[in-house]
Amino acid sequence: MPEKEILEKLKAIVTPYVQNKEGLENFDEKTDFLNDLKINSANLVDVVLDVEDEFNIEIDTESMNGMLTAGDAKNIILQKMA
Amino acid sequence: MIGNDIIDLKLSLGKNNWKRKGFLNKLFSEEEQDQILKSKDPEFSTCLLWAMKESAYKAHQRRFDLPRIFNPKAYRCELNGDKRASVSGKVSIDGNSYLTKVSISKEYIYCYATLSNSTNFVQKIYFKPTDLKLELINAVSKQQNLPKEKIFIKKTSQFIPFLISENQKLFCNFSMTHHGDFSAFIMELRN
Repeated sequence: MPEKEILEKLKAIVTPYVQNKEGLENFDEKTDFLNDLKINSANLVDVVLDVEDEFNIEIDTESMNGMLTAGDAKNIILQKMA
Repeated sequence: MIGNDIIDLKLSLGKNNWKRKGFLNKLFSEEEQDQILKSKDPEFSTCLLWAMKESAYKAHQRRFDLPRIFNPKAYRCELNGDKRASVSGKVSIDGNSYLTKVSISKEYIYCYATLSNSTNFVQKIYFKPTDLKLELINAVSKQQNLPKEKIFIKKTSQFIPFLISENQKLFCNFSMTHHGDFSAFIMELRN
């Protein structure tokens, strides 16, 4: 799956949890889930579960620990799908 | 060191999310999951344990100036007693432990975590949308006798907020939280 497509899917996944919609305008690898999008930390687990469902992968605890930006999520997805 | 967390029970952690496959397992140890599932109100218990973890995380991160990490499972909760109006407990992480106090109403769960029982602090909970940063600055201004126009909140490279006035970092441990309509700050007072 091309990286661009992964990022588009990620954007769609996070959108329902985003409290700062402006942060979505420049959604890219650097986009920080907590600081840029103001996603509530409790909703990060929703993002993790939605990513698992969408890409049919399992995100282990260690990977989840470092899933704070769109780029982190993309790298985890690429690694798990490889 | 100090940390706090508030949960608007209207929003919960996503209604019925505790039933979602994998949800509890990502956030809680097996013992904690068991405790939640055996409780009378699993939705409420999920929020309660989460608020404890989140406030301990904030205290721990501030204490050691740690980079951000999403590792809720590493924080282990223990509850003392089971009174509905207020619950005290302990959260442990990597050999450190934090004391937590939770106040509960029909509308919200509010938790704060401190290093010890003797920690002095002031805190305030707001029940309607509030400019929390401004409220905190007002409180600091009174406490430290500084003009409020000259106090600003900034963030460290680890995204931990701190207070600054006239280019000087203020020695003041604090934590802010908001969820739904509710918000709260807590600020440690030096003995």
